[in-house]
Amino acid sequence: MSTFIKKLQNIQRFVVLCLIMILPILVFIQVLLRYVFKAPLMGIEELMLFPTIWLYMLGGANASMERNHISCGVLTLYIKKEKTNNLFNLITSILSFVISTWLTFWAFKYFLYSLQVWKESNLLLIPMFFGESAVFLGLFIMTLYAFMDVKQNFMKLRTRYTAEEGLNVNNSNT
Amino acid sequence: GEEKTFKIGHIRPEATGTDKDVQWFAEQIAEKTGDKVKFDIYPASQLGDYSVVQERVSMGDVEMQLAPVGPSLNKNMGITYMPYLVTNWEDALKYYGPDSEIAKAVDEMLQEENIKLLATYPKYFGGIALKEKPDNPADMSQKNIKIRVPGTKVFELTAKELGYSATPLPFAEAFTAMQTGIVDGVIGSGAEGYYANFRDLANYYLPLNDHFEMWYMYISNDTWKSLSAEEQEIFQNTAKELAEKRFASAEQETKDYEQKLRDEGIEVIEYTDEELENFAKQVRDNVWPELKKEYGEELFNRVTEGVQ
Amino acid sequence: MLTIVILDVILLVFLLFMNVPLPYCFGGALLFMVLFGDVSMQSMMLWTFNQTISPVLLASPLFILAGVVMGGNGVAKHLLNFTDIFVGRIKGGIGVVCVATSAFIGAVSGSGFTGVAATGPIMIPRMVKQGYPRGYATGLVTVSSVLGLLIPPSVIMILYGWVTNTSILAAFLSTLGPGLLIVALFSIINLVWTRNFPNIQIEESVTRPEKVRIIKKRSLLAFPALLLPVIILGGIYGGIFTPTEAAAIATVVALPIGFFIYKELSAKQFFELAEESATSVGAIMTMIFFTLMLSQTYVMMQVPQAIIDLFFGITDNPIIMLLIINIFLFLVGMIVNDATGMILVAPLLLPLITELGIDPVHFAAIMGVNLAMGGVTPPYASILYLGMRIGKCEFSELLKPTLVFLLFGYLPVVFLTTFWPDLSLFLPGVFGLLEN
Ligand code: NA
Ligand code: NA
Repeated sequence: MSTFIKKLQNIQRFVVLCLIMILPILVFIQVLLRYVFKAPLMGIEELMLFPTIWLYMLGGANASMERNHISCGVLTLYIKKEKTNNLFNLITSILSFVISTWLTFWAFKYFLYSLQVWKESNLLLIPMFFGESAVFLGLFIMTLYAFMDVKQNFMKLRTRYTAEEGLNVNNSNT
Repeated sequence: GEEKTFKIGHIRPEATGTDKDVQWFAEQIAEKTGDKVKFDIYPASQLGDYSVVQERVSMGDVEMQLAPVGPSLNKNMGITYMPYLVTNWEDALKYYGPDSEIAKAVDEMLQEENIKLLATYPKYFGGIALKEKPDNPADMSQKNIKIRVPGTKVFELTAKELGYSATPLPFAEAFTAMQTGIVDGVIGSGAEGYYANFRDLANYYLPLNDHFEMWYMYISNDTWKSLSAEEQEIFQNTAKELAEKRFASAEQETKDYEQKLRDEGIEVIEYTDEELENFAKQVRDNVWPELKKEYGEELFNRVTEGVQ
Repeated sequence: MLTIVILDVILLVFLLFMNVPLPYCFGGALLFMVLFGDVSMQSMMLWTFNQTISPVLLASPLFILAGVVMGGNGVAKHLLNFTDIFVGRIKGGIGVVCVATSAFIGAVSGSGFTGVAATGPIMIPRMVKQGYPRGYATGLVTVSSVLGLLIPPSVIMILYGWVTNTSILAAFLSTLGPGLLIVALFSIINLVWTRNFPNIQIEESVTRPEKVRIIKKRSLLAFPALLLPVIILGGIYGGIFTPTEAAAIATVVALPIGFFIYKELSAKQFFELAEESATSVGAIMTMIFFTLMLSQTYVMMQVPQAIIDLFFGITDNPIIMLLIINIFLFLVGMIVNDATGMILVAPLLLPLITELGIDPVHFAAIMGVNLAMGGVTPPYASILYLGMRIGKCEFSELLKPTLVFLLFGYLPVVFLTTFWPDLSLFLPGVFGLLEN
């Protein structure tokens, strides 16, 4: 994998890590303000929605990166033959990629809509775009990983076929 | 033309007064158009929070809604929640009715969102529901009572001005927060709303008339343009009829719900006109200048013109 | 219209079986609805975004975070050692320890996974060492961890409250009664069954002073762990904070316990745990995002009304209807997981429930006990598969014990919950949380 992608992944990891630590701290501060300083902040809920949605979407991207999305997994328990398994994985990853691309397309349209109407939050008047754009960006990254999965599964299948035919293919990607 | 089925959303549960009004509207339209235009009714915010559904109407995905107007696309919609713009039903008709400046302003703002206003629908006067009785409910000094306010500036300022500490909480958490004692009361609704959700928790209801709850029935412009001239007329006349029906019955409904609260053992505090005017005066003096900044002088002066 | 919905559900099941990641399974079903139904994706994106940013929903990811932290900070270990004092020396006692600890963990974590993840690695080897069959040990840990969803706090109850506008506190308490009943039944089944195991060893007895020393030490160590549920549940029901706040506080408090008291956490491990939970949160929330969207398309196509008509077309006997609802929820639990099942089905069934005059809090318990079981009923059985991985055992070894516990310990509680409303309504009533 190229170092560029590795770098991007590290940034993604770092951001997600920050987000999951910020959220409980923000909530904790609100409780402290209410009880210790007797002064709840109007708008902290509103402020929180931004890290919240970014956490959800980039966390989803993280799950794609680590292949940690929840799936049913019952058939893979029964498929023992490696070749069948590889083919099955390829079909699954293609399905995922197609669906992901379609969802990303609509998320992109929503991204454009958000840019166009430029809503602001009720109290703090923060542009909602900074939250709404998370949906597109998260899904876009998820689609990239879905594509990489398709590519990898395809390579695996091809490597296996060519190996059976006795050819020695030098594959730099695996 | 061909037969059409429109989606209309509203924010009250099934079989409530509002639901029946929407059903009446749907039946009338179906009847008068010879079943050319029918409705699927989605009660209880099934299509989302009213602000969201308003946006969906502007996209044309949901055809109609009967609800308050939401401020998500245009902050100035918040002007309809202006505290103490009116204190009695007579003034309500004047300042919120179909020919009022607010109705015209809302119509103009909705047009910018690709939405056509069909009817104004008065709902109720707002108040505060409390667990404990304040020492002097007509007094506006600091009471050391925490009440839940919706996350908007208008209610925060009004609640503080009336002498309560404002705790911002999402509506979904209001019941629980009051039950467990995080807050001692709620503002933002009226007798009907408190009867539906808070009748087991509240012991006192303070009909302070702090705001007048006004709803609007509107239709997506795309949908509107797809109707024939004859159908448009049917829509407009039926909506007008609905509004008149509602204006005639709203005041009595508020009284009925106050009585229902009493029947549940909740004490409804009685305020004299003078006391209500007192609240109004103080809020107008101290909160309105803030709102004037918020909504801009032009719009503010337009809707408050004539109010002392 | 209904035909399209039925075809759509078939497509959903197909994608699930194809091992497609869950967000895409629901995304695929959504694609079908957009192609053949009357739905605009633009508006669905808008709606779903606004639903998802709700601060009420935020309680779910925060409780997931709390659960992951709880799995790594040593709380589980010290709770196990503590419960062991009381029943460790009875034949089969370690099984009871296992059930009770899962219940304890359930009182701080909101998901079904924490139970297996936190107690499994400690309990299964210990039980195997004492002569229990590996499949039995794994099965018991797995079915017990479902208690994480029934003992409050619970992610699925947060979701129920969120999508149906029911008090989350009332929903929490509604499954507590059924949960405690399951603790009792599982313990009894375990004690009866272990009598037949030939080679069970019991820990060697120790001298009296030694025993006193152990009890003192373990109780002292367990004290902070025992304090956590008190802080969380006491805080919520004492009116100090909302569920969302409680979840954040649980996490903030659990960290110093792990760092300084149990010394199980290092900075490096903490960051690993934080990243792990962020990934779980992302996996669950993206899944919820698209499930929500799919559910809304069904609502827009008037499926709830169709369900009402369908049910009243079959029968008007509420008992038979409740039975059908149970079977339906069991099937839903088989093919999807607890959280998605809740989001997908609750909005569709709620109008029917209202029509039948069933209290929404009672229905919370019915959905809760049915869907919580979903994690261990194949084909989609995420908790069971995780248990298999942790217990290093085959499906065939696990099958019999799991089935026995479900059939004799779990199923009776499902029916009791359904037909005896007081089991779920009593506690919310005591706390004055019933709205009607
Ligand atoms: Na729990
Ligand atoms: Na299942």
